[in-house]
Amino acid sequence: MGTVFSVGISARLVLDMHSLNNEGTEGNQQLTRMVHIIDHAGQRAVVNAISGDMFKHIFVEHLVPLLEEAGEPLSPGAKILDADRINALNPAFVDFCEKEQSFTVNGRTEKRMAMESEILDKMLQDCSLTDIAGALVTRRRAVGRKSTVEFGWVVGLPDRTVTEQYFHVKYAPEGRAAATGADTVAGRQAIFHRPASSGIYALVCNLDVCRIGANDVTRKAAVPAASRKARAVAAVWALAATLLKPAGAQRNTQNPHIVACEGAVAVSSSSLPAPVFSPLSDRYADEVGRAAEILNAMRPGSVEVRQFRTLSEGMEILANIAESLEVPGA
Amino acid sequence: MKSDSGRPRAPTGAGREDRLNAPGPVAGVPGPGRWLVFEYVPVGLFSLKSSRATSAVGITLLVPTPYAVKMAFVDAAFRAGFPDALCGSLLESLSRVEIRLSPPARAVITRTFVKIRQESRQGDPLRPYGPNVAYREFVHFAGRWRWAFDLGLLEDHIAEVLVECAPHVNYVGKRGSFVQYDGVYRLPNLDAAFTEPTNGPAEWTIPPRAHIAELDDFGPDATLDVLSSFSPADAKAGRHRVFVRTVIPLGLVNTGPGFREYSMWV
Repeated sequence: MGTVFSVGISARLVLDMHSLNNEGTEGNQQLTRMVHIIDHAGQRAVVNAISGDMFKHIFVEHLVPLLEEAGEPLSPGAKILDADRINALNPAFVDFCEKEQSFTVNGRTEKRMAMESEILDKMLQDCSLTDIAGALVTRRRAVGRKSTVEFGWVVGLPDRTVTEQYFHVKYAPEGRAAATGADTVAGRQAIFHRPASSGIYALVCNLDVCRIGANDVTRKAAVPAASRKARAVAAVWALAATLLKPAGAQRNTQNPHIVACEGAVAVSSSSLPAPVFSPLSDRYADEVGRAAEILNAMRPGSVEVRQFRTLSEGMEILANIAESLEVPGA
Repeated sequence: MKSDSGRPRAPTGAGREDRLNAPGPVAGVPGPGRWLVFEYVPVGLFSLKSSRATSAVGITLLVPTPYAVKMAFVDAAFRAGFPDALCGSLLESLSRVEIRLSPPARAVITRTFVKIRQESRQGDPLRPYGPNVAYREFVHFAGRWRWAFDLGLLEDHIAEVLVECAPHVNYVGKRGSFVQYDGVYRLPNLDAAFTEPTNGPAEWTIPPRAHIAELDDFGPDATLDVLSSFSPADAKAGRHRVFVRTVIPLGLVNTGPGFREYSMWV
């Protein structure tokens, strides 16, 4: 595979009977997330969707154990999947950001507060999850680590995605108020409605391998080359795991049936980004190929696109990338 | 070439106009035309909070602001490996360049609530953020983006940097608002499918379907040292960042629970 700067995935995923992303509950009815889109005929359509935030959450859930297995450092917050990552439960990091300390610059020792670039170095060195998934530190100043992985909304295809509400009953022998008829059989049953969606979903995501372990301010590596590679490999495996097991909401009783997965994986070996195209369009795989041709005309051989027809083929492509990738500059 | 103030000097004069009106290439892009137009295909749902939005209620704009587009190119220049000094020059050159955007012809906004992390009022240093919900909007577009840069005040070598950086831009606005680069060409004139600032020298008109939005842009004194996310300097309104009332050629055609739909008049 050689040097990999970025990986782009455009895929159609068939998920049946899932409830991976819900907006909330009104009364005893749970509401799934719906978005409005313009379909290929120019008509407005309302379709079920799973937010990019949810897929990022799923990705992180897979990534943490992979980073632990690789022996990469994790902050106390990252270890317990706290969304605030390096910011959470971390008094040493608070002190580093807020107290004066000694820094050695060009052989001279100076006592002062840490600069933004030094805080960013600390974030990358102390927490590999913060390095890959990003975090915002707002201690006296704002220092942001932009995520190296990005997900768009995972949107159902109009006419090929359906959502239904199902009636459920939960037996609750205690705690029901008398007004609901607590003494009767009906009073001991909590009635509720829960959605289940089935259909073809369009997924796009991008992984900037070249930024893993690199400080955004100084644009220099903040961690050793071996660590950068180990983290990049874990990130690619976590992407594969995200497709294999979309670990969203309601999986205790509505674990999604993954029926099919097809798409295109684009890999860029230069600073040109790996192309992605919305799988809401039937022509998406061809368009990814066409975009790669445009980019290769500018820098020959910099973008490679591999199409897959099944989930296992997609896994194989990502496994090959993970096994042989090199991080630029590492 | 630098002006007395140290900022790059804008190319001027009749010779410049003649060159732009000729079919010969400028920055490697054949003419004629003073507008350098980049085409992008929208890939993900777009969102960019209006500058008037609060963190709790984040209504979205329907187009990226000139500030967002210019900063996307500066960011791309860094990622493409250009030297820091050239990236700084690019930013300063772009501060005087007008850009106008032609959005895709159809757009529909989803209005929804999402979970966010927000700085906690408890003041616990070990738990600085807490969970909250916030109103957010996301736009799905059908069609193509066209982003036009005025070459009239842009040095050729900076225009070349733009052409080289354009394929590196893969999102604009909120992360995940992906776009895919699809080509570049020049146009002599822009029609009413493009945004129109209301503070320009030319008369402006409102197309049959349109709305007006306040978009931010680089101010006349914008520098990388001030606008960099990692700089402690404060950007000042009017000097480093300006707000321009702009005619957006998309008009409301339908609305209902959870959505607003816009389209062009054609």
